Amino acid sequence: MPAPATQSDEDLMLAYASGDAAAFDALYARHKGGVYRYLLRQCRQAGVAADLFQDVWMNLIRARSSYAPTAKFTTWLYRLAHNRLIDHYRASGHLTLVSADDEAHQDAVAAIPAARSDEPQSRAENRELSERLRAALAALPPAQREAFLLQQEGGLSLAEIAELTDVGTETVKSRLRYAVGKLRAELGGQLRDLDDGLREGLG
Amino acid sequence: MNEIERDREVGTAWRAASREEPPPALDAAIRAEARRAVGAAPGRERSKHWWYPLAAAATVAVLAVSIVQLMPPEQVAPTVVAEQSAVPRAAQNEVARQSAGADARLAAPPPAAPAAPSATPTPRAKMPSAPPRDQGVAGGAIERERAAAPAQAPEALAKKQLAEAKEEAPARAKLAQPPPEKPDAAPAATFGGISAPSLPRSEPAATSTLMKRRNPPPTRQPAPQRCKLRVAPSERRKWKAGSRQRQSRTPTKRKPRTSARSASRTGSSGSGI
Repeated sequence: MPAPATQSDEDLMLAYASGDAAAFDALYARHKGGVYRYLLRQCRQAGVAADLFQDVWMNLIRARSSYAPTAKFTTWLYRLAHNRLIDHYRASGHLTLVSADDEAHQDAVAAIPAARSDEPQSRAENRELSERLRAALAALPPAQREAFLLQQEGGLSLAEIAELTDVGTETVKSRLRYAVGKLRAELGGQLRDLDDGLREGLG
Repeated sequence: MNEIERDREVGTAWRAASREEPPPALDAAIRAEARRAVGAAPGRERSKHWWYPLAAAATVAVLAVSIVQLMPPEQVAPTVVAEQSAVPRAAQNEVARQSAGADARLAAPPPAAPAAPSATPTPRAKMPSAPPRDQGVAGGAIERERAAAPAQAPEALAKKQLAEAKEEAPARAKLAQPPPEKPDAAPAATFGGISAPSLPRSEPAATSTLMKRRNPPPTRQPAPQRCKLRVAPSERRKWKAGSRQRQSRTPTKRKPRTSARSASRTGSSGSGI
């Protein structure tokens, strides 16, 4: 039996459905960050995101026996997250928009790892750039933001995003084009500087 | 720089800027729930049905013990022994009946021969005591008899014994009636069509000669030989008893002794039959 690190998501999920708890650990370690960030960017509140995150994984645990590897595991996982988000939107009655002074947003900004260089000026610039990028993402329409997050956090393809969001592939492509264009326009020439600074900070 | 490269650049910048992770407590809770969901169900199932194999093993053990107790202790060997000894037993019973008839005839008569009833029970007691010896022989030498003798040997033996008994019955009757003048000459006159002078009754060599004439050597087989050995001593005792009775001067002293012996032998023979 291969190690969990080399197994595909689908094999890990099947192994977990057959009783292998270690397979769930490997699966969770792979996707917990993406799912959490997807939920956090969509609902924009850390507490709500944590609740939704827990609900998503509980639904996965409960639905383990009915899982069939007919599609990518990530598609199935993010569909669970998407459906939970829709339920949350329906329950709350409106879509919360992120703002620069949002507490959860501030927490998310503070969670960005600092640059390895100890220069206070460099660290402040990187934090500023990250904040502007998140603000630009938050300013996107929900459909465009969701398409962007599913592509960046979940690693889904256009077809998978289209299947998950129940729209056509061309629609997804258009949403992504609009989202990236607005981000680029918002950041302007700072995008390359942000990229370089974050790379330096991540080492 | 084309558009695709710019999109990749935006994506890389985003992934580098977005590094949030769920709280460690939430991680632990979800993992614990996942382990409990997977591990608890089989555990409960195991604890619920742990006694299934134990019950199956106990059932098998009880059935095995019951079957062993219901079965007769020895089925095969007694059947073989019974098959082997059935015909000789029947023949011996027939011989015993014949000899009993002769004994009755011997016991009935004469006031002149009071020792005759005391002498005749000896063969009657001896005959039933033969089956245990035959059973022992049959039980120990079944295979040897099967290998050596043909399958019809017991039947032939029985027929021979019956024929001998029929032949001996008149002789016994004659032996039981002592002649008034010469008691020793009367039994020796004829015995089975054989002239008496050639039979010195008290010597085994004469008996073996007689048996050789009855059972010629070419047709003799192991089982009939045992029959000859079994029958000859009783007849010898009968002859001896007859001669003693005739020669005895005080026959009344021997009567209680022989009757007691015959009674004890009769009791043992009854159990033997």
